Amino acid sequence: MKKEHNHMKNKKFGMCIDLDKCTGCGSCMVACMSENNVPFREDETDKRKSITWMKVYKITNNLSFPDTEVCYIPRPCMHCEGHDGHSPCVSVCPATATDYDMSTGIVSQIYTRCFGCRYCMGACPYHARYFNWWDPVWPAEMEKYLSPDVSPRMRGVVEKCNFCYPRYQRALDNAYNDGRSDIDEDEYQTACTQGCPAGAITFGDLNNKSHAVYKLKKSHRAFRLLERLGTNPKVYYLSSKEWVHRAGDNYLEGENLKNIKKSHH
Amino acid sequence: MYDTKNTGDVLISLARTMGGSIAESFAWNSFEACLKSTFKDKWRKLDKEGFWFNPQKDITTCPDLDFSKLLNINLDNTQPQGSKSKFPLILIPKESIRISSGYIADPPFAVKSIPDTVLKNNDQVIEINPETAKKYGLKNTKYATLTTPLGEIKVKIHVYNGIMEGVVAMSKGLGHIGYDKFISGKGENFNQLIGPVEDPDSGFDVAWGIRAKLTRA
Repeated sequence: MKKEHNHMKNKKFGMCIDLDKCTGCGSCMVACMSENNVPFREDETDKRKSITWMKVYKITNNLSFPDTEVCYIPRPCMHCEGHDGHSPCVSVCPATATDYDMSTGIVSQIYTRCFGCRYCMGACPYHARYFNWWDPVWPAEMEKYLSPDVSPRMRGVVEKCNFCYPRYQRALDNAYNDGRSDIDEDEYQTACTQGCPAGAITFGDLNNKSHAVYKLKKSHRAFRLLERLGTNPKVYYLSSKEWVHRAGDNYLEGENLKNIKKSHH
Repeated sequence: MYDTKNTGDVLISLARTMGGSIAESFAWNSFEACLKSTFKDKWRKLDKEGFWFNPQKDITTCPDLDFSKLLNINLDNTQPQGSKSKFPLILIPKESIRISSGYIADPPFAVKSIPDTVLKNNDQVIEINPETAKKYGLKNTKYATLTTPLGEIKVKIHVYNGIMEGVVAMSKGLGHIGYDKFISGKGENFNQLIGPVEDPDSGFDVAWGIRAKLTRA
């Protein structure tokens, strides 16, 4: 077990989302739902029951017109590493239905083990987990479009973003068939990354110096959501706006931002 | 693959067929030759970099396109339809990047991405400034009646300080009566509330906004 916990030698997949580029178009949400067989119902306006592995939030600087500024924040699962893989959801799951993969850094969700207690939903500070209140039903003519590698989920279980893990498995299979033991950066990309028309989402191995995310996460514009909770998320956000940084970590009125930033890095 | 021609080449060959002074005015052998002789030394930069601009040129005094005339247009000449006393607010369309406002409606995944501050159940949500809400006794998430000289609909209120006081913003692209249950009957059609007015400077019909009023439902 000790050897397995040596994360630095393994892959650590993560994402850098440039909020200065994001237009809030929602293409990432659509690409994600399409790729991952996320169902839809007639009325999806109750957002607490609407399953969106990737959700784009809209925040403002709270100033009135004409000084209002808007920022869109795409929110996949943060794949929290916590300390040694103790992410909030993994720690509370009584069914071992969600686990932290030390070889990839991906927090999984094993639907057939989940019995729907929803402790993980309560533990997740990012609202990244969703409960299936109903069995998924697609219009008959749409069943052919479903991704064959992605298992649909039944009523009564929790689901969430898995960084398009079936795509990783497929990339590994392809590499194995070619006699290779590893994959290139572009062989495994998430659907939201590829669906973003603004090129705002970058995905890759945070441990690999040749991957774009390795450099981006060190940008002076980088921050992580609710970082002070110690969740150690693997999704980094880039913004040149200070008010966005502050909103992203729920800073309190009058706090010294410079000192807080120092403790982050 | 196809027997096609650039529009410029078509015009040149037509002019050549017509003969006389028209053919003389289009004396080039091809559209490319026309571009090369017209742009002269700028052509190389255009060909290499895809663009050319003159940083020294003041566009407001450009003899070909006199933009200064545009600056003199009195925007107040174009008034939205309706009387200010009866309809104190102005309703404007809000183009949303997540809602298709053309003939083709949003597919289900895109409908799912519409925030509940735009569509809630089947109700159309409109945006107003907190000051506007206070002035007319309207509350966030509550129902109101939106009336214009051309129509009346039931809406829900979304109070948002990013919109100008006195303006009501309503998304375009909802209120379809066709298609399937995932889009039909959701929200209201903005177009049923507006009509065109004549732009006195151009003489063209323009449709962008209309006077409106909001009353608590």
